[in-house]
Parts: sequence; structure tokens; C-alpha cells
Amino acid sequence: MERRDLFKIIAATPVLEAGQALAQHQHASTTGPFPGETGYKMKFLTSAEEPVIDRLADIIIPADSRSPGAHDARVVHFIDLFAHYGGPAIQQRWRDGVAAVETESKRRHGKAFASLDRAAQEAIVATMASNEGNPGTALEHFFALLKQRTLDGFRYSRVGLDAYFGYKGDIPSREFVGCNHPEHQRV
Amino acid sequence: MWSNDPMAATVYDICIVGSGFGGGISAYALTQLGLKVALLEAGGRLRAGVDYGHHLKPWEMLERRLAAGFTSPVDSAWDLREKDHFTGVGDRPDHGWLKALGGRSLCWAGHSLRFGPGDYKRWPISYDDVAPYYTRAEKFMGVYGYKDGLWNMPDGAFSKGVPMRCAEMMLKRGVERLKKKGARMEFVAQRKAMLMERHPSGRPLCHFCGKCGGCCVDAKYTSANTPIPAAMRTGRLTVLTDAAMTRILKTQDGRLVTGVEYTNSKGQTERLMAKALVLSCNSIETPRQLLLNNLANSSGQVGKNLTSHFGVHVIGVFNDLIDRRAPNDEGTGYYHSLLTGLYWDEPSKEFENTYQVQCGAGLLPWRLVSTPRGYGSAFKKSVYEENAAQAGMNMQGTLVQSPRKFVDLDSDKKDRFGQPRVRVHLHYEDEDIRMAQDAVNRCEEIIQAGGGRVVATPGRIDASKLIIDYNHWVGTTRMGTDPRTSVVNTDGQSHDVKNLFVGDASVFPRYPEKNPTLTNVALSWRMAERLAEKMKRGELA
Ligand SMILES: Cc1cc2nc3c(=O)[nH]c(=O)nc-3n(C[C@H](O)[C@H](O)[C@H](O)COP(=O)(O)OP(=O)(O)OC[C@H]3O[C@@H](n4cnc5c(N)ncnc54)[C@H](O)[C@@H]3O)c2cc1C
Ligand code: SF4
Repeated sequence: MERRDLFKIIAATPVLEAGQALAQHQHASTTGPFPGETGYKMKFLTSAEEPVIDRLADIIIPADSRSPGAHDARVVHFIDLFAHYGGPAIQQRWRDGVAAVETESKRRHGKAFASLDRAAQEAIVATMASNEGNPGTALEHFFALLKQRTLDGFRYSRVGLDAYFGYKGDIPSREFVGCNHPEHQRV
Repeated sequence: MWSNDPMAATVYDICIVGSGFGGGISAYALTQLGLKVALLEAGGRLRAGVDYGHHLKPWEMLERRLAAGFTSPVDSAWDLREKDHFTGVGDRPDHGWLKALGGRSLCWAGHSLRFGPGDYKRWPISYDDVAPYYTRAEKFMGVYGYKDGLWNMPDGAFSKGVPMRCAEMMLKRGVERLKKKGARMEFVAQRKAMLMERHPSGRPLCHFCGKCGGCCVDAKYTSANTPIPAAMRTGRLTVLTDAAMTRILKTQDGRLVTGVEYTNSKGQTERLMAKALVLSCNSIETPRQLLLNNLANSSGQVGKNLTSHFGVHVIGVFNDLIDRRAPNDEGTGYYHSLLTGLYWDEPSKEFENTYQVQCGAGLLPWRLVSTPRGYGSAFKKSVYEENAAQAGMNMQGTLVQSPRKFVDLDSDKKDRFGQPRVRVHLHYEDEDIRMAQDAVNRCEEIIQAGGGRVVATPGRIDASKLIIDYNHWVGTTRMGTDPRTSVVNTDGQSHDVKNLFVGDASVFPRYPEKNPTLTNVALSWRMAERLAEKMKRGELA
């Protein structure tokens, strides 16, 4: 019998208030720069692909009166991570998707997507989105992936979480208020 | 006196195998009664807030989560579960196993509902037999809730309740309107084992972060944070982690068990001798161990009578709520409310059992339930509005027990110790499908009656749309008074081997729609007390 196999449990810790306990619990070590931050280094997207994805994402979630958009949130960093860790098949979909956008841009305007004005870029996105839910062309299939990952990157970003959602859920609270609106409670 | 060295005591009073809900409370109850207990656990120790339950920002977590093969930046103890440890046969069965000190108590959602007097009508024991253990369990675990006065989901010893969110109130409104037209159902707030008030265990209070799949501070009850430390403090408990039982040792005539063989973390085989054995391996592994050891099965019922919960999801959006600002909807996890009371008074003619519906709501960036069509500013607006105004309804119904649902051994596939894996057989019956259809129709009706619109529904049900709850299996060593038709008696004691007991949910002979754990804890506590009494009276030798 190995003594190492035995496990002794430390007696329960004294009562901690909610916030205190959270502050005390150990955080895993972290290393930045994280996606969304200055200094983030691209892992998968090329320097030619990056501005294309950045703009496509920003057309899907633009800055408006509600909040900054995907460009400000650097959603392109998040998409870079999703693609990098997504494995070869997913990576190919991103690569082929950007290539399809470039082909369409050349066909319509004879130049690269990044050099088009925003209105022309938005017109291409309109085509990509035209059969949402029932995609047929390469552009339409790419739109589904692009839109999902743009939303994911945005909701996981500091800009998305703070400015758009106004999220306070990861701040420890002493109380959960719940619905306190009498009008919601009337039958 | 401390007894943390197995060598110091050659023969334990009791060996418990498995440290989940059943094993943890059994260890607590037995050591409190003065017995010397060894608790064997196949997994190791996982620490809250260190091995799971990090409160990092999503952008800080994302890369390490993606690198580990996950897509969500929120981690949970459940991520560490076993994969590929069983063989599924039929309609996509699955089985959850978290191999760790505390088992799945580390990742459970905390819902703690009493079974009611109506549920026990089909059991060999009554509600009154279990009621005192429910009260003890609720106090010991720290269950919160409101007093609802429902006859078949009785109130308990609750600490202060946690309210519902706005969209859940809309569902309640729908239910109340339908009740006025004669529908029989109830809509109440959830009851969960998370600390709202100071508690003798010393666990910290809940801070409403909603990441309860692995509570970062141990505010949620687990076997590892409450009963096992308390049992250790008696000095009568020895815990062996990374110790997987591989064989049950018996007397030559097979009438009694004498101990177990287990493999330690180095792969060496060790023996541990005990006067009585409690199996708390869970409702799939406990019958597997009995089958592997050809034990306690004169009835032929080991592995039979398998049932679980299953369901479908329906989601609604309430236009009344789309303008709300929703800075913090996390609470104690998604489900703050429950549709219940269905078919309690008058059973359905279409199906034997019944269902409840766990309901939740809120704007939770990790859990966007609605992705509207389109793009641009209009899309951005509707993502916020639809998610701030959504309510989700998750049916939890009881599968009808049938000869096509059972557990047996897989003679082809072996585990890492060379022993046959378990096979889980699941085939939905027409009755199961009819129940799910009833639930879908009802959820849609409630959403509409509450003033909402249905945004996601499975619609017409067939077996391919049903989702099994692979953590709620029960029934595989059912209790009964007749040794010919049941595996254990009403004390959880094997009919065949008198010093062998089962302390987990596999003993449930019937299954209501309610979550299993509170009853698992109450019954295991009761079993442990009966065991101790019998041992003291010399009835187990
Ligand atoms: C995500 C999630 C949410 C849930 N939410 C709820 C809820 O809200 N309410 C509710 O009532 N239930 C809930 N459950 C279900 C509940 O967790 C299970 O029903 C419960 O854990 C079963 O308890 P148990 O002790 O039988 O088994 P387990 O918790 O599985 O514990 C069994 C232990 O035995 C060990 N073991 C098995 N075989 C051996 C062996 N040969 N040797 C040594 N050790 C062994 C295992 O490693 C494990 O630690 C949830 C489960 C999950 C995963
Ligand atoms: S909401 Fe409460 S119980 Fe759930 S993880 Fe947070 S602190 Fe723990």
C-alpha cells in the first residue's frame, strides 16, 4: 500500500462571505496578449486574409448607436483562434471562403475585396446572406460559418461583453434580484 | 482517533465503493455511528477554482479552452468526464461518469426535489418512511427554496429561496391563464442545494455567478466538500483515491463478501478487507460490478428495470420584454423555475408516467438561445432583444420501463483492466414519444398563453428528436420485498448476500419525473443507518 494513494482532506474552511471567497480562490495562470488586445499575434489567418475577415465581420456586426462593432472588438482575432484550433477541415473552409469572396470581388469589380468601398463590400455580403438557412453556393455556405463565429467572437470579447451586453454576471453579488416588476407578475 | 492508514486496520467495518452522492453520505452516516469506514474512489481529487470553475474573462479563457478541444470559454467539472467507457445500443443512449472524489456531485446543477406521497405509492416503502431523511438531507446539503404547498412535491427544510427572472414570470402567467381554463399544473421556483445562508459545513455563500457546473467556491453541495470532510473529522474514515475496485472478494460458499480488490494509481493490485460492503458506483456501474462478480442476482433483475429521464426543448420569446436592459441574469444557473404537477391527480391515458419541465431565462452571453436571421444593425438589435426576452422550457419525463431498456456486459469490448465494459440498451417506446409530444404541445401553449411566440420547437416528435438524460439512470438493482423479483430489500441490503448493500439511485424501483439526487442522498442515509443497526445486532456475519 502506497501512502501516496491515501488522501487526507483538510478540514472545511471557515465561513467566507461570497465576494471574499471568490477573491480568494486561485486563478489559473494566464498569459496574454489575449484576443482583442493590442499585440495579439495571428496564428492562422494570413496578412491578406485578416483585413477581409475583419471587414466581413464588421458588416455582420457593425458599430452603431447601440455599441462599437466587430472591428472595434477585434473579432478577427477570435476567428483566427477558432480557425487555428478548428483542425484542417475547418481551416480549409476559412481559406476557401476568403478565396470565394475574392473571386466574387474580382468578378464584379476587377479588384481585391479589401480595396472596394464599403457599399460594394456590403453588396457582396448581401449576396452571401441571400439564402440563409438553405445555402447552396460556396459564398452562402461560408456566410453561415462566418456569421456564427463573428457572433461568438463578439460575445466573448471585452467590447461585446461590456459595451454591447452590459454584462454584470461575473461580478459577485450578495443577492439575486430576479423579476421585481409588478406588471410582469399580473396574470 | 484518526484512522487514515489502511494498513493500521486490517479489517474495516465497512468498505464503500464510489464517493458520489450515495457513497459520500453513506461514509458520513456510518462514521457518525462509530463505524470504521474505508471509501474507495476510482478517480483523484479535483479542487474547486483550481482544477475547474475559473472566473476568468472569456477572452482570457478562450485559447486554452479551444486548445483543450472545447468551444465554450466557460469551463466546468463536467468537461473532465470519462469518454468512451461504455457501449450504447439502440436509440443513442449515453452515460455520464465523472471519475473523481465526489463523482458527479462536482458538476451537478443542484436541483433538489422531494418525491411525493403519490410517487411512493408504487414503492415498497412510503413517503413517511423517507420524509425524516429528506429533512435531514435538505439541512445537511443546504437546500434553498420557497414553500409551495404542493402535495406531491412536498416542501422541505429550505433556506431562503431564489426568485424567477422576468421571462419565467411570463411562463407563470401562461400557466395561470391556462389553469383558469381548467388545466392542472403548477409553476414554481426551483429548489437547489446552494448556500443562501450560513451553514454548519462552513461552505461559503453563493455569489450568483451561474457557473454551477463546477462551483468555483464550493457554495454548491458536493460529496467532496460536505460529507467526506465531516466524516474525516471523526477520525474513522480512510479515503483511497485513484483506487478502482476490480473484484469483489467472497467467502467460499459465496454467501458473504469479505472485501475488495482494487488497482492503485501505480497499476498494482491491492486488497482491502471489510465486514460489509456498500456499492455506490452509480446506476450503471453498480449493476455492472454485480454482473462481473456474479453476485446478488438470484432474481435475474440486476441491470433490468432501467429508466431515466428524457426530453425535448421549446423556446419562446416575449415581446413585452424586448426593451429590458439585462445586466445580470446569471443567478444560480439557467433554470430558476419549474413546471410541475402534471398528471399527478389524474394520470394520462396516453402514457404511464409523467414529466416536469425545467424552465430558465435571461440574457446569458455564454448561452445565446436565439440567433436571428440577417446581419448588420438589425441583426445586432435582435440578438440582444430576443435573448433578453427568451424563456427556455426543458422537458424532463420518465421513460417507461420495458424489457428493451437494460444494462448488461459487453463481451467484445474491455476496459483498461481487461474486464467487459457495460452495455446500455435504450429503445424508445411509442408511449415515450406520446409523452414528449404532449410536453411539446403544452410548452407551446404556455408560451402563447403568456403572450410569447415560439421561436424553437421540435414540432412533431419521433424517436430521433428525443434527448436522453444520461446522468439520471436508475432502477438497475431495484428494491422490493420479494427476493424473486428484486435485488435489494427495503433497507438497500442484498436479498442474497446479507453483508452487501447498495447506496445509490439504482435501487429506485419506480421513477417519478423529479430529479434523483435528493432521494438518492435520503435513501443512502437511511440505508447506512439500517446497515449500522444490523451490524451492531450481529446480523451481518
Ligand atoms: C451536469 C450534471 C447536472 C446534474 N444535475 C442534477 C440536478 O440538478 N439534480 C439531480 O438530482 N441530479 C443531477 N445530476 C445527476 C446526478 O449527478 C447523478 O444522478 C448522481 O451523481 C448519481 O450519484 P451516484 O453517487 O450514484 O453516482 P456518481 O456521482 O457517478 O458517483 C459514483 C462514483 O463511484 C466511482 N466508481 C465507480 N466505479 C468504481 C469502481 N469500480 N471503483 C472505485 N470507484 C468507482 C466513480 O468514479 C464516481 O466517483 C446531474 C448530473 C450532471 C452530470
Ligand atoms: S451561482 Fe452559486 S452555486 Fe453556482 S457556481 Fe456560482 S457561487 Fe457556486
